[in-house]
Amino acid sequence: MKSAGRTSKTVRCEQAKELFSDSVEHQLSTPLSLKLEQHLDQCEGCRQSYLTFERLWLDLSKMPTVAAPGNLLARVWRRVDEQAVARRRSWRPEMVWRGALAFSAAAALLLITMFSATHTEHAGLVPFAGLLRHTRSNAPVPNVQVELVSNRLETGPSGRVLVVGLRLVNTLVPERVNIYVRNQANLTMPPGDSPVWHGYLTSRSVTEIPLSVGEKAPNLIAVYVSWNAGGRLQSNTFLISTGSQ
Amino acid sequence: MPNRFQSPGDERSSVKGRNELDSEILQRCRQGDRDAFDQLFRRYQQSIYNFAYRLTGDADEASDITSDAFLRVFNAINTFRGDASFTTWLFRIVTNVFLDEKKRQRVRAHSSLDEYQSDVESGYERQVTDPSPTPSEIVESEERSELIQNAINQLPEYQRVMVVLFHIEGKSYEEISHIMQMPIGTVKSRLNRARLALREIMEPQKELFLP
Ligand SMILES: [Zn+2]
Repeated sequence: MKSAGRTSKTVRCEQAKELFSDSVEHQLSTPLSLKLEQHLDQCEGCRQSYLTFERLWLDLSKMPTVAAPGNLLARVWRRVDEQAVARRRSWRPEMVWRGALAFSAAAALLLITMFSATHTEHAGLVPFAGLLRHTRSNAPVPNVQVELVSNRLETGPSGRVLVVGLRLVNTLVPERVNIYVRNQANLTMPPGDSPVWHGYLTSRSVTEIPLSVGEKAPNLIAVYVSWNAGGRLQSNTFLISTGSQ
Repeated sequence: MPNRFQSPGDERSSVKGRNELDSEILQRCRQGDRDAFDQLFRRYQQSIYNFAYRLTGDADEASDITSDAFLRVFNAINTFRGDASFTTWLFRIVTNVFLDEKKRQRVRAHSSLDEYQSDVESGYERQVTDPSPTPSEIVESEERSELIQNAINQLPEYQRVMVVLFHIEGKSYEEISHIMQMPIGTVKSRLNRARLALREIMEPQKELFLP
């Protein structure tokens, strides 16, 4: 008899506990609510449990917010950049250079200087493998390059149009670029004029961009493409011969 | 019934959507715009870090989980189609990073236990330290939130995620069902079990929790 009574009480206790959450959230029907109340009146253990349960619920909602560390975003960008470098290396094994990550700040600075200078190309990828560092996190930045895949001269309603086909190399991420056009080779940065075109290039497909080059196209056109990777200005210049007299 | 406070359930619906990412930033992120990602990360870093901290109870682990999760966001932003809200998607990523990390830690713990046993066999002895604080340490801290955090750390991982999402991050049952991809009924019953388990863990310190 005694053990049967204890068993039935234990069952009732467990049933009561099943109702705790709904009771705190006012989701119990009146009969169930009464049933729970009756049990709590008779059972000191469950009454204490209910009080601590309710208190715990309240305390959980008051847990303070823990401030994120200040370097968190720099860490994220470093991870992004490291991943990009790792991917680039696995794509182009011939471009792997050992110990690159251990470059001294001076060496990195030298490379950035070299990289910021424009490269003159008739077409194709600049054969340069340098190491850039992110301005915020100092993490390596992948050696993103712009590749000139195609170019042709067309005649539009307002003069000659040079259509260049451009594609990114060494990145999976689209990059926003600015394009400036010069009539002759110009190895300095473009002055503060506005770009003739700006938009996104990707590595997945070739973007064809029509560039207006005036009534009579000059013999030699410099197409200057610049973009910002990791807070650093990068650029490629393509010298395109139009074959005009 | 003793009800000394309002159920938080009522406030949840009004909170929903408040912190949503605007579509312009999202669109720019899809195009790989780093400035847009920077804005996105800045907007969510605090809530994600806090979520990760409450899941792990450890600052370093929380930083690791947050940066892992943002890396996944960066890589997978084009797979976000907007079927769920962005925050739901983001919290699902963080939850997965946390669960994956715990799985990895279990594998590692297993192999270090093997090492330990082989060390014992070869005559070396190493002390195995129990990371959970002693009862006296707990009482000394006298910090309720620390006690609760210690209790949360002892919950099984899935229960931990649910408790933190509901009670600390203020997510509704519906949002949790989207984040954890399980029916609302399952979320409710598992959360009830998790709360009871948490209360059981807190039982030795109950005098601190009674009014
Ligand atoms: Zn009882």
